[in-house]
Amino acid sequence: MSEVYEEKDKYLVYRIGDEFYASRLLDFVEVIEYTKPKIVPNMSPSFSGMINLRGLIIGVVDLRKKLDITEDFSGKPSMLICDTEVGPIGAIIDKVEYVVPFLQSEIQDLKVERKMDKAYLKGFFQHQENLITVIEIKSFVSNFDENTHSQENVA
Amino acid sequence: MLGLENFLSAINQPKYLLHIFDKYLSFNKDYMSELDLELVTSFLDEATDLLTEWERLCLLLEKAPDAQALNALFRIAHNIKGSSRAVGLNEVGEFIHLIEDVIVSLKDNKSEFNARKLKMFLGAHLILSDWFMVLRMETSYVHPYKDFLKEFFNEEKVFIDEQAVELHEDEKSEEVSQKVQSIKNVLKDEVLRVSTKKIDGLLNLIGELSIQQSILENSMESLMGKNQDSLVISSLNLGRKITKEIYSTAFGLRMTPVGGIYQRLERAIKDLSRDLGKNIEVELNGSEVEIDKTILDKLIDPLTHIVRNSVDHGIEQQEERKIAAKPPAGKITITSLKEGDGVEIHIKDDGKGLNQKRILEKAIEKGLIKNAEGLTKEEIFGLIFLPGFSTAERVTNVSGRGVGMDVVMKTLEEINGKIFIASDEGKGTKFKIVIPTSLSIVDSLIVSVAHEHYVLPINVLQEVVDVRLIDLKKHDSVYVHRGEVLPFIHLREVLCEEKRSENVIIPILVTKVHGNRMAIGVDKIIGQHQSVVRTLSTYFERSFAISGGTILPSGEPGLILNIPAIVEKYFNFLMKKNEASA
Repeated sequence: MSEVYEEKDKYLVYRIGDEFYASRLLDFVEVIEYTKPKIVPNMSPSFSGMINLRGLIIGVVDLRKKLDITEDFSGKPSMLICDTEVGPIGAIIDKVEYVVPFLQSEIQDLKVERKMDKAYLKGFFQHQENLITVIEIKSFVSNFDENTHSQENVA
Repeated sequence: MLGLENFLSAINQPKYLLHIFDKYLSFNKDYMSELDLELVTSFLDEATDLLTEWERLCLLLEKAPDAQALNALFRIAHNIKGSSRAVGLNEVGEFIHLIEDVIVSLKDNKSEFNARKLKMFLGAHLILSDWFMVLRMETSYVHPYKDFLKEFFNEEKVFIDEQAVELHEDEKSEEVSQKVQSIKNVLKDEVLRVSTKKIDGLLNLIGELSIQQSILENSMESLMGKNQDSLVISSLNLGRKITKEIYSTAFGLRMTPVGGIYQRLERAIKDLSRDLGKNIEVELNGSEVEIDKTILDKLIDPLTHIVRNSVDHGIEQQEERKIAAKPPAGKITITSLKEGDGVEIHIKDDGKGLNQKRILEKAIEKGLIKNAEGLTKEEIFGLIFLPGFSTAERVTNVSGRGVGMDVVMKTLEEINGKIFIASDEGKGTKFKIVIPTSLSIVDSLIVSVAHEHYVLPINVLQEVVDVRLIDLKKHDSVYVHRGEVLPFIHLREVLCEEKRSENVIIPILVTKVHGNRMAIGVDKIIGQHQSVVRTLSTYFERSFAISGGTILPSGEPGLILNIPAIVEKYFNFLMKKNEASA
C-alpha cells in the first residue's frame, strides 16, 4: 500500500450484535470496562443512565438501543468514552475489535439498507470479510432528540 | 499529616488575624470608624508582597544600577503610596512619597545613584516592614521614621523642608524593634496569600479522599459483618473524623466575611448621595457573616446596583422628606444574617417606596404584560427584574451605569440566589437577597425512590412525616397536614412511570418553594449527607427534575433533585386536579 496514514485516519472497529461498526479513533477518550449505569429519569430511551468515572459523572448511551439491534450478546459489553461537544458521553457496545487505518476516500457510499439516520452514517468499507459501517460517533451519541432511529431516512 | 496540618494552619492565617483584630476592636472601637480593617489587612498583605520585590530590586541595583530596576522600584513606591492613602494610612503615604521623590530624581537623572541612596532604599524597606507589622495590630500606629530620613538627607546635603521631617513625639528605635518583636510573637507565622485555584485543587482532592473513605467504610461493613475487628473499626472511625476535619478546615479557607464589601457599598452610597445632594446615613450589620469568596465577589455588582437604586429612587430629597414628616437624613440599612445553610442580605431604605401603579404602567407600556389583572403586590414588584424594564436610570445614568435590575436578577441566579422585595409606599423598600454560603456543598437528605437513591437539598424541606398509605388513598392528590391541604405527589410519579410504593408507611417531605407548600412522598429515607456538588454535562438538563450530581457514600453517582422545578411543575396541576375532583 502506498497511502500514508495519519493519526486521524485511524478507526476503531467495534461490534454490536452481528454488525461491525467503526468510528474515528480520535473521537474516543478511552475504553472502559462495563459498569451498570445508574438510572437518570426523564431521559430518552437509549440513554442508559450515568456512571462515576473517577469522580466525574458522565451519561451513558446504549448504542444497541440507538441502532435498534436486537440480537443477543452473551459476553460482557464494553464502554467507549467519547469526548463530544456537550461533554464526555459513554457509549455501550458489545465488543471492541481492532484499530484499522483507512482514508476518507476509501469509504464507499454503498446503497446498503441501514436503519439509521443518514446524518451520522458516513459510509462503508470492506475490511477482511466484514462490511464495516462508519459512524460519526460524536454527534450520534450526543443527539438525544431521536427516541429511536428514523425509518424514513433509510435509503 | 503534620505537613498538611502546618500547611492548613498557615493558609488559615488571615482568619486568625481577623480574630485578633476583632478582639482588639472590642477595646478600641474608635479605630473602626476611621479605617476599614478588612481593607487595611488586604493592603498590608499586598504591600508586604511588594516589599519583598522591593528588596529584590534593591539587591539588583546593588550589583549594577539599571533603569529598568529603578522603574520597577518607582512603580512599587507609587503603588504603595496610592493604596496606603486609599485605605486611610496617610502617614505611610507621606513617608513613601518622600522616598518616591528620591527615585524620581534618579529617574530624571537629576541626581546620581550611589551607595547612600541604596542604603536609604534598603532602610526604607526595613522601616516599612516594621511599620506594616505593627499596623496589623494597631492601625493608628505611625513609625518614627523621621530620624532616619534626617540622617539621609543630611548626608545627601539636600535642602528639604525642615517641617516635613520634624519629629513627632520621639520614639527610640529600640522601642520600635521591641514593639515589632512583641507583635511578631503574637502573630508567630507570616501571612500567606494563596490563590483560590490552589485551595480548590486541595478541596477537590479532599473531596475524592472522603469519597474513598465512605467507599471503604461501606465495604467494611458488608465485608466484616458482625465479626468486626475493633482496631480496624476504630482507626476507620478516626480516619473519617480526620477527613471531615480536614475538609471543613480547607473549606473554611474559601469563606470570607461579607464585611469585606461593606466598605464599598457604603462608599457607593456616600458618593452618590453627595452627587445628588441627599443626606443619607448608613447602618451596617452582620459584617462577620461568612460566605464563599466566589459568591461574595459576584455579589458586589448586584448589591452596588441595589444601594445606588435606593439612593437614587428610594430616598427622597430633603424638602420632600420634610413634607412627609420624616427625619431629614435618609437611612439605608444593610444587614447580613446566617439563615439555615445560606445567608440573607437585607438592604432597607426609608425612602418613598415602590410605586405599584407606575411599575404597572411602565410594564404595560413596554409590552412586558398585557394587564394588571390577578397580579399580587409581590408579582408587581417582580416586574422590575424583567429585561427591558428600564427605569429613570437610562436617563440619569446613575443607578448602575446603564445596567438594569434584570442584570441583578441574572447575576443572583448564577449563584443560586433569590431576591424578594417588600415595599410600603411612603415608608421605604426592603430588598431581601437569599444566597447559599457555598456553591459546592449542600446539606442533603438521601432518599430511595423505586430502588434508586436520590439526593434532596435540605434547605427546601420543612418537615418529614411518616404517613400510612391508606390515609393518603382517601384523597388522590392531596395530603392533609395538620388541617392544611397540601398538594401531594409521590416521587415515583415524577421520576419513573411506576405506580406508588407498596410500602404500608411512607415518609412524606413537606417542602416550601416560593411560598407554595407541597407534600412529596418517597419510598424510604436513607440518611443525611453533605453532598459535594458536581456539575453535570449540559445534556442532563433534559431532565427537568435534576439540578446537579454528586457522588454518593457508596461511590455511585447520585442525582440532586431540583425540588423547586418539581413543585413548579406539579403544584398548580395538582391544585386544579383536586378542585375538579372535589
